[in-house]
Order: sequence, then structure tokens, then C-alpha cells
Amino acid sequence: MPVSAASTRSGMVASLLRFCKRKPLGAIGGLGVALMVVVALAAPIIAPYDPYAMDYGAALTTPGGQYLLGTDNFGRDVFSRIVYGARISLYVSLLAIALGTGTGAVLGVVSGYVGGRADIIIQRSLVDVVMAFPTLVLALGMVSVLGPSVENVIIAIATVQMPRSARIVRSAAISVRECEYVTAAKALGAGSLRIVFLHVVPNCIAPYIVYATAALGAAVIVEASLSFLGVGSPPPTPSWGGMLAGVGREYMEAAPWMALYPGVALSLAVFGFNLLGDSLRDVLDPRLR
Amino acid sequence: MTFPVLLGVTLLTFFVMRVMPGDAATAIVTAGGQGVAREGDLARVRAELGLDKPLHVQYGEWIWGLARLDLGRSWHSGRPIVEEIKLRFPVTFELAVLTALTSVLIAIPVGVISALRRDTLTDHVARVVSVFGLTLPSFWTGTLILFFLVTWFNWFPPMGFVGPFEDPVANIQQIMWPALAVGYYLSAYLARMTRATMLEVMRQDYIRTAWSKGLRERVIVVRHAMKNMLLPVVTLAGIQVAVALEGSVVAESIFMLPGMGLALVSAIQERDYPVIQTFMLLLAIVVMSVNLLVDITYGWLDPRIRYN
Repeated sequence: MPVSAASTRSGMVASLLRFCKRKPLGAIGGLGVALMVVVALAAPIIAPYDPYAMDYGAALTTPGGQYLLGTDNFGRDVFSRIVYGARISLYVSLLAIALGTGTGAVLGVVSGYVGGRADIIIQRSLVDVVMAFPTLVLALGMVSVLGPSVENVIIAIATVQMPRSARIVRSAAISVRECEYVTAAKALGAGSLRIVFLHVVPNCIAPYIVYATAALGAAVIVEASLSFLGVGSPPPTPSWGGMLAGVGREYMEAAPWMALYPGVALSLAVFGFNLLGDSLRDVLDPRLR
Repeated sequence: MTFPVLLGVTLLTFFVMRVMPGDAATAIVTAGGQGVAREGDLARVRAELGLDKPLHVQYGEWIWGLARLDLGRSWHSGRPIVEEIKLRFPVTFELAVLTALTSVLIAIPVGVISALRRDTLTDHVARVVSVFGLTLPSFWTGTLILFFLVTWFNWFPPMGFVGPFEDPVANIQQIMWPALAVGYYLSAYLARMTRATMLEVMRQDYIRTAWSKGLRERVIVVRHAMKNMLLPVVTLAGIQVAVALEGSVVAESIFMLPGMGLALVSAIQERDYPVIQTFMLLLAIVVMSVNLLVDITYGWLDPRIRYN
């Protein structure tokens, strides 16, 4: 039906505009995230140089002129590497969060709605255990065994994110389970699956989205930390954390731009996700305000 | 409740180290993938490390060793891991304590003032500063600190570690920068929580009563409001111990501070699995103990909560 399709589209635009008006900071965050997505997608067009191309003759060139943000000790263009770094950062965090919080959400719904023994098994044997580790330490351990690669970083971040989303979705599912409309649906003869998909899942979506947005910012940081420590995306992959680590003490005085610009990019990305996450929380989840 | 989780933690650590793909013996023989593994070398290394035994026997031996505080030896240096921990733990412990202190010293005043002067310029500045802290992971703040120290003062903090009782000045020079880097990051969350809780508390009836009794603002804030604000703040501070530990893993690497974090990172580079395994377990145990401590502190801070 074309009429209803058009009305939902204008409804979406209207609610988007309302969000921007009510939460200008959130809109700025959203804009920052959108910008990062555009930069990541259009990296080959935006970047003036090949991020891997070394040119020892041009090593440690100061910013400005031919190289917008200077070059590193291998003569690679810092700006181009930052642009491609957005790709790595976004790719890793999006996939890791989709995988990790997705698994967590399924576990959370089962744990919260089914309850009983399933709840105890999931919570005690999985959620509590994984949560006992500092996230970065567990991720470090996993990547050290699996070997440094982009895919293994994704698996590690997904694993450490899983229990937190499971907790959040579980508590949302529990609060729905006790609602009268669920009892009413049961009285009308609705099956468990029908109740889960029609009543429980829709009520878990808001807290889930809020958590996942904030977790994206955290995933960007964990990815950068792993690369910084030399166990993330292996060099010469242009990763922001790896670029920061490449500076060390020897280039800190001679070529600070090698570290400062990737760091700024990292901060802007995390800032965008945090602002967006905060505002989404205020709008979508009044309980958490 | 804690014991099954502890058992799970040992199992998960063991599982990550032994069962996941990526064979330790191959890694050692080939020196991380460069050389070619000969079957004879592989068998010898496996036998030497006890990797040829069945998994449940390996796990049992590890747990039995843990129970007797025999943590095994490092594959790399051949030294007992206990010795390594005795050397490294005090560094990380001092760093963690100073980090927590820095975080609380920044967060509580900022959060409280921000809440009391709500929606004024002071509040806005304080909130921007703390939101900014969230975007600065410790390795980035650490890099910035090093950058400013070297450009402004042409000075790098001394590398290594001198105990606080041997030379307090050198000790502080080494440890204050990583503590500042991690502490600032942590203070961002804590300040937000403090502000929100303080706003909540200041709306309560007993605060209005205190005002109408004619008490001074300082007394109301310190004696009535802050006491009631502490519960959620203590909870968060406890949760943050985990974050402080990971922050110090990274910060130690920047500032070359020879604590658990630096040892863990170099163990990972050397594929020294017994060290990685033990350190992971130890850090998890520290986090669990702090959570338990936080639960107990609840009862003390809020007499309405009772444990059976």
C-alpha cells in the first residue's frame, strides 16, 4: 500500500527531526558517526595516497603542503592511513558488536523469559564467568592464542561483550514476563514463541539498542588498545591504535603528528558513539534516565 | 555463589589457553610462525611442557598446583611464576591504588559541585571536561602526557620502577603519570554517576528538612547528602577496579612500568602460556574479590541491606 509506506517514511523523517531538536548533542554524535561511515566507505576516494606505500625519501615530513598530516617513519601518508583506519575500526567494532550483543541478546531472552534452570545455567556458567575477567585481559588472552588478525580481534571483542548485553536483555525480559498482558496472552492460548516474538522481543529492543550503541564506542577503544599493544590487526594494517604505538619515545619529539592525529580521530569516533548513545538512552529508555 | 564462578573462571582460562586452535608447541618450535616445525622437535617440546598428557590431567595438575601455590614456571625465563608475581604485583597494586585515588579525587568534587551548581557555567564546564575524559583511553592520554612533558619540559619520566620506600620522589615521578592517565578516564564515569546521584539526593525530603532547620550548606552537603550518595558511587568504583586493571595493562606499556600489565604483554609476545594463563586467572580473582568486597560494603554503608 503506497499510502501507508509514504506516511511511515514521513513519520520516520519527522521523528528524526524531533530527535535532532530535542537532543542537539545526540544529533551531533549521530552526524559524527555518519561522517565516520562515509569516510570508511569512501576511503579510496578520500585518501590521497596508498596507505601502505612506503617512501623513505619522504619519511617524517612535517604536516602541510604535499602531505596534509605529515608522514610516518616509513614515509607513509598519515592522513591516508587515518582514513583507512576508520575502515578497520568501524568494520571490527560493527561486526564484533553485532556478533557479541546478538548472541548476548538471544541468551538474555532465553534466560529472562524461560527462567528457572536455563537462567541459572546461562548466568552462572557463562555470563558471570566471562564478566569476572577485565574485558581487555580476556581479549588479550584470546587473541594471543588465536593469533593476531582482524577476524580474531572481532571474535575476542564479541566474546567479552556478550555477557553484558545478556544481562541487560535478561532484566528487560524478566520485567515483561510479569506483565499482565503476557498473562492475558497466555490465557488466550498463545504459545511461548508467539509471546516471545510479539511481546518480549519488542520490549527488549530499546535497552538493547541503547547498550549496543554505547558498546560500539567501547569496541572502538578495545580494538585500538589491542593494536596499540601489538596483538590486534597486524602491521602494516592502518589501525589507529597501531599508529599511536608506532611513535614510541624516539619519535615523540621529532614527529608528534604521527601519534596526535590518529589519537584525535579515535577520540572523535568514541565521542560520536557516546553522544549518540547517551541521547538514545534518554529518548528510548525512560527508566534509565 | 562465588565458588562455582571461580571454578568456571579457571576452566575458561584453561580452555582459552589449551583448547582453542593455535598450538603452543608449534608456536615455540617455529618461533611464532617463521621456521618450519619438525615432528621430532614438536614431540620433544610437547613432552617437556606436559602438553602430551590428556587435557583433564593437564587441568588437574594445574589446579592441584594452584591449590599448593605452585604456579609452575615461565617457559621463557624458566623462573617460577610466583617469583615473577612477587616482583610485579606491588607495582600494579600501587598503580591501581593511585589510579583509584586520582579518579575519586577528580570525580567526587566535580560531580558534587556540578550537581549543586546545576545548569550554571561551572556545571557545563565540568560536564564537558568529564565527557571528554570518556573519549580518551589511557594509552592516548598517556601519549599526550608524554608529548607535553617532552615538548614543555624536555623531560621523560624515568623508566623502570623504584619502590616507594627506597626513593619516594623517583617512585612518584614514575607512577603518577600512568595513574593520571587511567584515573582521568575512570573519573569521567564516576563524576557522571556522582552528579546524577547527588541531584537525586538533594531532592529528598530530609534535605528539605535540613534546610528548614537552618543548617549551613556545607553541613547539609557533607553530612546529609554525601553520605546518602555514596552507595551507587561505591558500587561503580568497585566495578571500575576491572577497568583500572585493564587501563594499567596498557598504561604500563607506555610508561615502561614493570608491573603485571607489562609482564602480560611481553608474555603474549613470547607466547609464554603458563604466565598468560596464571596472570589472567589472578586478574580475574582480583576483580571477583573486589566485587565481593563491594557487596559487603553495601551492608555497612546502608544498614537497610542485610545478608543472610
